[in-house]
Amino acid sequence: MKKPANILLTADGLSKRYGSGWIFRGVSFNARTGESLAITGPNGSGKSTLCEILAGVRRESAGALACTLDGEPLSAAQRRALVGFASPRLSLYGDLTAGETVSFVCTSLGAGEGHARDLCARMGLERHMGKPVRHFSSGMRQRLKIALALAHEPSVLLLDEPGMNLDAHGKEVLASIVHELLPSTLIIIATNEESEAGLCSGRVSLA
Amino acid sequence: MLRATRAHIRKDFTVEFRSRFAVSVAAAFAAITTLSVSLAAGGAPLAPLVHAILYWIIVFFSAMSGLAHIFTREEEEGTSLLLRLVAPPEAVFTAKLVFNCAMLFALAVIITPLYLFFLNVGLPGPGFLALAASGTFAIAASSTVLAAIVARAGGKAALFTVISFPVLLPVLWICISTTSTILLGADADVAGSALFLLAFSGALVAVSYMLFEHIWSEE
Repeated sequence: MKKPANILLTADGLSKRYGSGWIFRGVSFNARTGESLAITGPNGSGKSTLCEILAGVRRESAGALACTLDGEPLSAAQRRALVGFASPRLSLYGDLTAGETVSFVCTSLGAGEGHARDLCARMGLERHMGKPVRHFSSGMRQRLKIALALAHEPSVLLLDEPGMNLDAHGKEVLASIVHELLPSTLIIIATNEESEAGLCSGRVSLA
Repeated sequence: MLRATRAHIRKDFTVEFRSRFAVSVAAAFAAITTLSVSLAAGGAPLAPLVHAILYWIIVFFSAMSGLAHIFTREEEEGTSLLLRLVAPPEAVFTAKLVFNCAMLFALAVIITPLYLFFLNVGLPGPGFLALAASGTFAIAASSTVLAAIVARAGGKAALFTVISFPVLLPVLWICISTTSTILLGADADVAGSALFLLAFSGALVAVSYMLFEHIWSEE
């Protein structure tokens, strides 16, 4: 297991709007390494958008998001490098095989491929690494996305609707991975599934 | 950064090699327009200036039909989020620039002999080849960031041509006037023109490189 990084994520009045309408307003929370947080809320409440803001790939409209590593503040780019993110909005390259996708993501992140390939095997994708991703079922794609999110052993794991399209075995593997990572990782899960929210110790509800 | 750029270049070429969409569309456009011009001319001799205008119009519109695809594909297929997560914006821009330059060079290699053969133009010297190379580089380098803007604005391919034209006007003007002089057999300042094109490209690439992070990031 990797050495835990002491991450503290602080959201203070985070708000997001598109045009004149607010998606969510005034979201505040603190979460640190070793903690887990479920983001819940009805469809359209902005769970996925909030996850993208936390991942550093989207900007907030108001409020502040601070992330520190051992007390040192991190920029959005530095935060992005520490985050593993799986989301239904994230699409994979259909023309690449699963193996090529793993290779592309790991090389881009500066991580070795061994850990990601082990995760793919654990997710039941070992026999499918040579297949183009466009031939994958939606469940297999979800398994690959989760493996890719964990490829660089992130300090912050953001999972948006992680159980979507997963079968019972996939959900079991996901739950065991979350339990294993929890001591050394800050885990945030956006979901409406009580079984997934139940994996987390804290909760933020978007009305 | 270098490692991410290399991975990204390899990925872009692999995806394009398997789908062949952008190259096929641009190459088909180039071949069809060259043949159409040849048939319309009907073997009649054209003035060097007309040859220069037709040649660069074909290069320009072939580029417009394919260059935006490298960014619009990422937005249309939803893969841009993955790129934002795993690669720094500078690596994305550099990789797309390399891909577009390679694609336009490949197109120029198709267009130039086709044009010379079907329009019955005598073989020009190395000066023309140097100008064609620097001209195609200038078009690809100047329009890569515009392709990103178009992709972020909803991927309207027609918009790409409209916003690229004023930016590329100095490039087309220099390319057409120098090509015309070369075809006339007069003493053309190819080195001066190539230098201008490379300087123009360098300035636009530098500005694009600085602006790209703001264009690429989500609001």
